[in-house]
Amino acid sequence: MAERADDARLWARARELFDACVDLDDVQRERHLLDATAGEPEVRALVERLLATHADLAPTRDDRIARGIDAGVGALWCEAPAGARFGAFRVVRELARGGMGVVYLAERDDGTVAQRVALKLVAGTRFGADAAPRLAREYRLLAALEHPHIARLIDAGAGADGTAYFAMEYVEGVPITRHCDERALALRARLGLFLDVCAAVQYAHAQLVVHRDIKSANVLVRDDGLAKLLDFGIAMRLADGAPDHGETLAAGIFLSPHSAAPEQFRPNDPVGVAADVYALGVLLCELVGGMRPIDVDGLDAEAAMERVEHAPPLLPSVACTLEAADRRGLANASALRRALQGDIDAIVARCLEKEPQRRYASVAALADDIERHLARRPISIRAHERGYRARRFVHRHAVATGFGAVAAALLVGFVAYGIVTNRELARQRDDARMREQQAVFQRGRAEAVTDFLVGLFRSTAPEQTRGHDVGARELVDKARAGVEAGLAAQPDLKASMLSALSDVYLAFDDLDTAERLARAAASLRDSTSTDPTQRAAALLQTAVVANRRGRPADALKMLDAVDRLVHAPDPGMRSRTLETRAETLLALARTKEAVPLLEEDVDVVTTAYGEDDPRALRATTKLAGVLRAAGRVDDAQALLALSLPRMRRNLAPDDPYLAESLIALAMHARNHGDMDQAEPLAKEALELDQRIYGENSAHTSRTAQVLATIESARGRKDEARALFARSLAIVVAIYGGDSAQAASAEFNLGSHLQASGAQVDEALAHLQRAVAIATQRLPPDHINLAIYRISLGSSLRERGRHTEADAVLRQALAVFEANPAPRGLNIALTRGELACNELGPARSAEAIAALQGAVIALHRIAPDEPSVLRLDRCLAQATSRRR
Amino acid sequence: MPTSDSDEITALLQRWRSGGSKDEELALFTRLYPLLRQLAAHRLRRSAPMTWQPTDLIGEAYARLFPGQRADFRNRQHFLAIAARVMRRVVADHFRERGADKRGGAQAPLSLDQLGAEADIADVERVADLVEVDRLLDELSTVDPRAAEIVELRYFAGLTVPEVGDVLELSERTVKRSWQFARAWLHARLEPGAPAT
Repeated sequence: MAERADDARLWARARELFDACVDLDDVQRERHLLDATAGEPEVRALVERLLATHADLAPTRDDRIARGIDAGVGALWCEAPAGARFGAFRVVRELARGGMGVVYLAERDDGTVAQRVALKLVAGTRFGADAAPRLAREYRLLAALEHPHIARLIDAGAGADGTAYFAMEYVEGVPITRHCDERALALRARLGLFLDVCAAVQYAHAQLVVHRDIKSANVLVRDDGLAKLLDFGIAMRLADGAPDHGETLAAGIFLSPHSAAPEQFRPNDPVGVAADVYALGVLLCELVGGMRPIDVDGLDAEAAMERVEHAPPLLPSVACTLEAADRRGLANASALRRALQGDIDAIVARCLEKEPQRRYASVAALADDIERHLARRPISIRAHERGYRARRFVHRHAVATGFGAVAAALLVGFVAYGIVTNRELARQRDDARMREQQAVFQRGRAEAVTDFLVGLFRSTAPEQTRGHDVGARELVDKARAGVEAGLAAQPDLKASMLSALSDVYLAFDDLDTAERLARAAASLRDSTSTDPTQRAAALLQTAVVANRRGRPADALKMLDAVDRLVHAPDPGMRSRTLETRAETLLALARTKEAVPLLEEDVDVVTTAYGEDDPRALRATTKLAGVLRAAGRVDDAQALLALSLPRMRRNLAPDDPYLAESLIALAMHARNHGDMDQAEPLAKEALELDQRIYGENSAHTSRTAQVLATIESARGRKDEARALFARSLAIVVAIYGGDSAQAASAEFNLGSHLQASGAQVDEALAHLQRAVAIATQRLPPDHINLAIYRISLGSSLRERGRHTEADAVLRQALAVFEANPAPRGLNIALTRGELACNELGPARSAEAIAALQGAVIALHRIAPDEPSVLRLDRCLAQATSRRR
Repeated sequence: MPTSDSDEITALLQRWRSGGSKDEELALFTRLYPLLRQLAAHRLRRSAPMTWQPTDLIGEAYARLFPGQRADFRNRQHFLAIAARVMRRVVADHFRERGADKRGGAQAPLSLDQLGAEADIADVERVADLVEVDRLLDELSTVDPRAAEIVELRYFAGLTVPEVGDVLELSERTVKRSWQFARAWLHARLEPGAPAT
């Protein structure tokens, strides 16, 4: 946009219009601008932009420029000139500034040794009255502290103008939170650093020194990872007892509202070890979750105090963001949430108790719980929770325990635990302490149980157990019965589990149960949850089920509702919504519209998880599938060629998507006529599917069909027939004899029989069933239905049922003509069949000519198609009879 | 009683204000720049951090330079006009040096104790780049020098619209119009494509 000031003409014109419009209302403004800037779109755009900017501006004293000036002049204050001397030290440059004064980097300049120090100056005029004794005390305190994680005091004194100074060990580092974020340190490493800080504070407490201002800016971490606690500037001796009035007032000036404990805001309350425990809780919260537990940004002292005293702290797991997860090496916000729920939340909550005596009694106790958590041992404050120890045990032995009978016992036990504990807590409702604990832990426990159960269910889903454990179904059935019958008091938990179970039953291909569970979850969410994301997730599951049940129109409505509920879904939710909608569109024969959705899906998951992540590889497989369906076989092949090596590297050898890619490759080879390559790929895929999903599964059925077409192309009619029949049997078992999937399988078997020319009646029966089912299940203009009709028409023709054949073929032709394909194979085939059909009774020269035309065209397009060969025969017969 | 310093500066101001040359402006700059910078640097000793107003600083500079001429209204107006421009340079130079500091690998200063410790990172989005503002004001003064002057007086001398009118001998309405437009233009330029807040 041309808006540079040096374009004087434009400037003057814009200025004139701006002045004319600035006081008008929106409507008048628009009218005026339209009239005045005809033929000057550039000017209009500029003026509109300026008016919009003008309307959005903050008051002059508070806009961005004013803030910038404030910051600049603020920073100019108390700039100690470089080179100024304090004692043996010469100022080099400023490091930091704060309520106590300014900290400079300084160098020893007395000709003895080279030494860099952090020189802390406190301006005399402002703080003169109480700073001198304070500084003297700080000197005594600090000089007594010698610890690897505490910055040492080197010297203290007064400069030439009376300014008091401290020379402290210069720590070349960054605040601990920044250090962790810049290095994207994992939780474990962050907790390790936090333990170092605890050790320093614990040591100081043992010397009867409390810090009173622990916060991330006061904990610097060097490049080599060594954490140093700075600035015992407001520390006081525990031994001194309650401070006198003047001191607390001074302390009030210096406290940091983000990390100060409630009692630090109260002038007459003693401030001791508990305040440091509180501040450590704030620091822990920031380190692990990335957020402060209580936000006092922009509040004045009184409002900040009010909030710190009364607002419940935000526990670290509550405010997890994708960004925070990413900075901790985790794939998404829920992974971080799961890691923090339970122990860490409980530890932070304990530190942040409003009453000092309810916090950890010592930093040692806090550190001990962190260490226990890291060692996966039960933490002290949660030991009273029944079942808690058992869960710790499972975590600790997660690898060894596996997914067998032990898991089954725990699973059932955990459902029972959730109910029992709830009842027990209800009984103790009058006990205030208990109620408070319940509030703190309720959320954490419910979600922990959900996660635990969902984890187990996922582990019992065939994709995960990969066919090792046949008894999984029994296990899940048992759990389902428990969940459906119970958990009335915990609707949230129940809804999550019903949804998760629905997914599991989909994997079992038990559609009735999956649907019942998904609906139950959705209605439970609707009636009990105000969280739109949760309601959307439950609704999405019903859409997934609707797709599988062959009700894409219903699914589409549900998906629209999902989109209305959630505007900024996390990548997982977004991906699942996109994939489900793509499936829906495929089922509605809107293949082309599905392509961009899956392209976006690949984009979403690759951005969120990286291109080597199984989720990205799986999304790519799906995209390849829909590209193929949209006729873009070369694009699909290119995608798969790219991702297959990655899949071999990053997926387990029996990952379902590996099977999926193998079958896609097999199909591609088959479609290029390379049956030698296609056959082993398809056989490998079939074996994998059988192993992963069992015989009666959609996957096994589809792969059997693909292999059947390959065998058929190799001329192995019996093998092919057996495979087609097997596929049909599976589909009928799973989806029912009247499903769209059954129609497709009937068609495949029927057209195979038709092509092999043997069981003509059987072929006709299968094709009739295919068309009958598809007429019920598919939209009337669905391309599959039309294709089924070609084969049915052909069979009817061969059986001499010319009138029926004509009707069926004309229905197909109408669909093909409405959606012409590039090659025109189906149109040519249908016209050929129609012509051939007319030859039956009439044998007109016109029909023969039409048939000849169609056959010539078909030989160019698809010379090897069995249906083309049938037309060849028809033409040959017709011409011979003519002769 | 005026010092010889103040006489000289008064003369410079008068010449500069009555359409004087770049030389006078440069001479005034040379006199005022170190003074304003030094005053800013020493303010910690006298007031709490959050109460700074540009007017205070410039007022203080004026008091230092013209101890006996507070009543000379015209002189003071001239002084404000140049002092606002000097302040703009002081602030912009400060940020330029900071920028150079960072490039040299030095540690960026932290705000330790104020509400929102470490707010310096978050604040970046709410705070304009003053080096860029300085550059834009140069651009502005080539096409509309009066508007640039108004902006300087409003932002860097902290004057109100009527006060700016007094200094520049313009009607309040004229100042307001010019100011509105120039301010919108600056903010729009500072944040291309997004609303300036």
